Amino acid sequence: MNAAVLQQSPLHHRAARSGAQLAAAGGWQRVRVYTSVAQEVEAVRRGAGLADETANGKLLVEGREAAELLGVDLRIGAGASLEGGRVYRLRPDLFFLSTPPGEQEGILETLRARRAGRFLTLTDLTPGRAELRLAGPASPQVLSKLGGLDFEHFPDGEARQSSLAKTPQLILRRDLRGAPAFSLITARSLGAYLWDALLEAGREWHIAPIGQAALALLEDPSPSQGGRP
Amino acid sequence: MLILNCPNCGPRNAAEFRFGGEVTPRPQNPDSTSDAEWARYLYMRPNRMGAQTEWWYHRAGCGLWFLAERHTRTDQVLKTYLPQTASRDA
Amino acid sequence: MPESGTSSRLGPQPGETIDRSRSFEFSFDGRRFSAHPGDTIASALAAGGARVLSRSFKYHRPRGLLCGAGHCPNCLVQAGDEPNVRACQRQVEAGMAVRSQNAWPSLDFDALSLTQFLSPLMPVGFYYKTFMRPRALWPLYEDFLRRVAGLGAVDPASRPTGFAKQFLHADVAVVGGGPAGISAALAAAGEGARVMLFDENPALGGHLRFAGSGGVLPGLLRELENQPRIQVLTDTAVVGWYTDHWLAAVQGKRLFKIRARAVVVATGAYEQPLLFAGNDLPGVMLGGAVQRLIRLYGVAPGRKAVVVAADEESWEVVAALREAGVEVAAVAASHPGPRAAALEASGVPVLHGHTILAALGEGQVRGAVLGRVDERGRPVAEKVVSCELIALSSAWAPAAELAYMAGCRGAYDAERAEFRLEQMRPGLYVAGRINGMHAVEGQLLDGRLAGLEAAAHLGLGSGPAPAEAEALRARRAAQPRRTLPPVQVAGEGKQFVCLCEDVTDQDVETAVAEGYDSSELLKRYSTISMGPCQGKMCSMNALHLCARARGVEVAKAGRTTARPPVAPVALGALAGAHLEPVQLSAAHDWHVERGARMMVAGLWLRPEHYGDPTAEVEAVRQRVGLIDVSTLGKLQFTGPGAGTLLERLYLNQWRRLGVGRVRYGVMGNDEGVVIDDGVGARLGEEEWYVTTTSSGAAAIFELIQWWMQSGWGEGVHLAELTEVFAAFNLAGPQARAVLQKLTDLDLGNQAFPYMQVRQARVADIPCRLLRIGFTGELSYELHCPAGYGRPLWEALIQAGGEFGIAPFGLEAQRVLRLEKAHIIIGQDTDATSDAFAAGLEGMVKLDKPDFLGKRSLLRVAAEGPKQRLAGFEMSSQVVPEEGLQIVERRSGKLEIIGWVTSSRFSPTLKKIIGLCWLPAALAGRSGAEFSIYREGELLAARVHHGAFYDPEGTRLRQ
Repeated sequence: MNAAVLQQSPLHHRAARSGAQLAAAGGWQRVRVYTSVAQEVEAVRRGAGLADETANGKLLVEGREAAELLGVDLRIGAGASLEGGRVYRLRPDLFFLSTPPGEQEGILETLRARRAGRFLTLTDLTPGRAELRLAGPASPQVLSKLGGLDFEHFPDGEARQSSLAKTPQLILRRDLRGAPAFSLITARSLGAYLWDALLEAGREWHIAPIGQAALALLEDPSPSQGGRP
Repeated sequence: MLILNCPNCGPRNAAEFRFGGEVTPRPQNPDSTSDAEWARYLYMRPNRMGAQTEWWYHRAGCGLWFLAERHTRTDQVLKTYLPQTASRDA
Repeated sequence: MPESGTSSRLGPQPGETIDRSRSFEFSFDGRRFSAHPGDTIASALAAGGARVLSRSFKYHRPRGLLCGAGHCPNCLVQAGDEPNVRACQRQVEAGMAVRSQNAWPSLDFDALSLTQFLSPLMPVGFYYKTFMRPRALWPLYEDFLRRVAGLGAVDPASRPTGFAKQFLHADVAVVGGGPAGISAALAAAGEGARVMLFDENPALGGHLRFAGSGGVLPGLLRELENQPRIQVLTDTAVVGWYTDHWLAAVQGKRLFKIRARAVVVATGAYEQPLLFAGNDLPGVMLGGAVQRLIRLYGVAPGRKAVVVAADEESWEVVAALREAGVEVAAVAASHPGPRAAALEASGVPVLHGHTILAALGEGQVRGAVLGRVDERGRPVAEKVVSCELIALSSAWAPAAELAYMAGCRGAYDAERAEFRLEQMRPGLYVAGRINGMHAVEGQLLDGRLAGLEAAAHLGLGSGPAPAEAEALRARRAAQPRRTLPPVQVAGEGKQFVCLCEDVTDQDVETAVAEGYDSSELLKRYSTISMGPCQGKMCSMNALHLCARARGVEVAKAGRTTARPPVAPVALGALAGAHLEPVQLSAAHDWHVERGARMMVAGLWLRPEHYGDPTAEVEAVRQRVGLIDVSTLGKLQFTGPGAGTLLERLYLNQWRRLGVGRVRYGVMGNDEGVVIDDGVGARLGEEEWYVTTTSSGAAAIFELIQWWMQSGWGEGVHLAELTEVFAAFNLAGPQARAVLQKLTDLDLGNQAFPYMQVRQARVADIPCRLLRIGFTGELSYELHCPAGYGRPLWEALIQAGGEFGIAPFGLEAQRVLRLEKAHIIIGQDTDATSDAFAAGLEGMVKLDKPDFLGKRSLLRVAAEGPKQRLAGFEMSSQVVPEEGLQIVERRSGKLEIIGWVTSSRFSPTLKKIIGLCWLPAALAGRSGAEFSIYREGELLAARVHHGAFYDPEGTRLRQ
């Protein structure tokens, strides 16, 4: 058996066909670079960039004692750092955890071990949701063409569930250094549709697809971290 | 009503919600309910003019069903709240 | 005739918007015109001497520039492929091909204008009166009406792009960027509110941009620039107020949907035309148009003018004309303002107490008849003045549509001859000229107070100070009274009330005489106010005429209802960008690459077939096939209460199902009607994995959530995994052989029997395997994390190569399931099909405690269903279309007794089979004959019980 079967995002074949540079992360195929790191970084700095972050881990924790298990005290929509990822409260008894690619499984194990008789359900949604990251100064405006939330005043680090491009979404505000950024988490089957809708809405701000390399550079522009393969 | 206040998520565009109809309590013991009473539960809706309590579902948001008191003539929503767990059978 | 000749462009004006350092050309009806950046189409045409811009709707009267503010129908033109462009609002672009509308064959010689000589034959309501009979001639009438009623041409070949919608959010939305609006925005922002300020013009300022009182504008604009909480949107017309303070606004090709918490309407007022003979001739202009042409665009509106002056602003118009070097031949003044004397002293002939009685000229203004109106309302002509421009500065109607939409009432103030707004909705404020404040100081103060009140409504600041409120009251009381009512009817000849629809004063009187005497009836009968201006130019005058004809006060005549849009909106802006969600499975690209014909199923695109559905059926029956069923709804129930919930939701048993086993499940509603089906696998003591139909997935999930959240959810959690798992069904006698190549799991019939579930790795991909048989063959449904969907699909196809595997689509699946007489809920059943009637009595466990549908099914069980779903075989070679009716001859007449729900040619059985609804007694007799009605013929069919293919089900248990 081939041990190297990797999961694919709903945009994988499109990206592969277009000649994007791919790289593995956490058991997933991801796009490292679409065109060039410099161009992609520039697109985000000037207007907007769109990245495919479907590989990010996505967990749901459900149960009346979920807050207790997670050890967090959050109002609805608020978020907090947890186990290398970030947890958001979606409902009184429902939490969403976002993790770096592949790390959801370890967290799942940790939480299961900690459960100790509580009636809690842990669900790994990772393969079932597409996750797109829209970044850049124009991103609130791009989103305001597709949805009714006040994206200009959406607090960083928080989560909202709302309609975007006529489809239900979990929207996380996760700013990059100096630029607003949003993670849009939707049904996997709608990933390609949402991607196209965002590119169309962002056209007037010269939106461009961006890969993980540019994103890493924007997240931490220090030379020791960025730009290395 | 173009904005509806989801008890979980806050005020949102009404298009995010699905209307779930008037609150119609299900008889406690269907087996011993008369045909007439059962038919009333299934098919009869008062459709009153004035404030009525109805179900709404935040389809594009949190996925919670909640109750809204809405005035059917002015279309103003007077309040919204999450159901008590047992209220449906009341 | 458009006059060619010398340019009417003046020397530089202080507040002009044009850039004289550059110029370019555009065309109007093929003629070349020159323009500067900043010119509108209308200003550039006026500069080039074109006075006739379009033809009217009914009589094809020539139309010239009238309001210059985008409110009237006169300057609607076609620009490129876009019809109904307001020439006075649209900036002209280099190379723009502008054409006049409603002119056939040409603007100068409009053959249809002959209809004005037919006008005695076209009285008010002529559509209703003339074109009703004879009915057979309607196509001819329609052709004629369409030709004369044109409002521009739509080019079906043009594909406009760039339309979009966008949401905006503001604490306070201020509509109108004149002095009141700016002042309101500054005041609200000063209290900490986030403000959006909208204006339909390219720049803020309102009348300050072109009227003499503009000195305060630069200061206001500086204040705005220094206030970061104010966002200004110019060229943006707010076209509707909706409940909860939603506003709709249009900026070019963009529709804004604005969610505001408070709204200040500072939209000013519409300058009103007067009624007199010839009031529609090109050369008759409103004072605002005159001022705009001169001050914004540096264009002289004519060489010799008569001004009809009725208020203080009128003298601004006179001053503007004189500054532009236009000879003011006479001022017919009913307003004795303080500036009149000064102008008179400087040589302007002012005729006090005069007004206009008629405009003279053929095709355009050549002169004006001025005079008095005696105490009995009769005109007394006194003087004829030669001129080519008649400037009307007489009356205002508040631009109150938004306030009216918000539920405000308009009360008529007879002394000031205008409507006053009352009964404000909480959070809605009006300020400025709309509120009866005509002088700039009052407008500024009124705006400030409205802004403070709007902020206070949001809990910001404490509202206006008492002293300010008192000052405003004083200013309001000091407003000058109007000396001239908006309507002035005198003299002979047509006086146009409604410029859009060519309705005259006589038409209004006739309509009222015929009984259409309420404003709403008058509107519908005469079509007054139903044209592009939507009443901005005519409602007030019509109301006065209606009141006079009825002999009542204006206040009693009643206003018509204001509805969106306030300004014209392109349909493209309402449609916005194309957004049509489409769901694609993980293997979608593979299907497309392999030439699948995709079909729409809900939001999904699914393969209907890959070229030959019959061959796909044969592949499954004889070898092996693979279908993508990722669209199935997938629900996981966990917890101690899961079994109880499932037994309440479904007709069948779940709790007795052993761990590792699978069963078919049917869900009913409380009417006993079947609403969904699928399979359920018990993965653990407290864990069930259940599929729903693809089409029902979303609705069933919502329904189950409702039952759970309203009382049945104790001790159970529901995870919606539809998208988490891709699902493929590998079916056919060779399915086991194909699968065994990819997994270590023992697939032997003993180790993994029919209707069981296993979890194993297939092609090194973690899978849930359900051994089920919708197709009637040995089959495994593989569910894997969707990220592995395509790799798994490709691995299965590759492994099946040596066995002749074929991907199959929905069409083959429909045939395969029909051969097994499996029903599809929603196709073979409808909202009245109870479980017994649908042949699912075996699923209904009436010995369970209460479950959805039990109470109703108990009654059905006692009485028996009246109709039943049954299989049938055709006696002929015709496939009866799904939906055809089944009939029976009763006393010589055909009566409908049932209908066909599914039908196909079965390539396996080589005959035509189907499912249908029949009376229960008939359905119960195997082999009984009945007739299907098709295109006048009766087709014979026979009842068939059980599956058509492999009725014992041995193949799927192999």
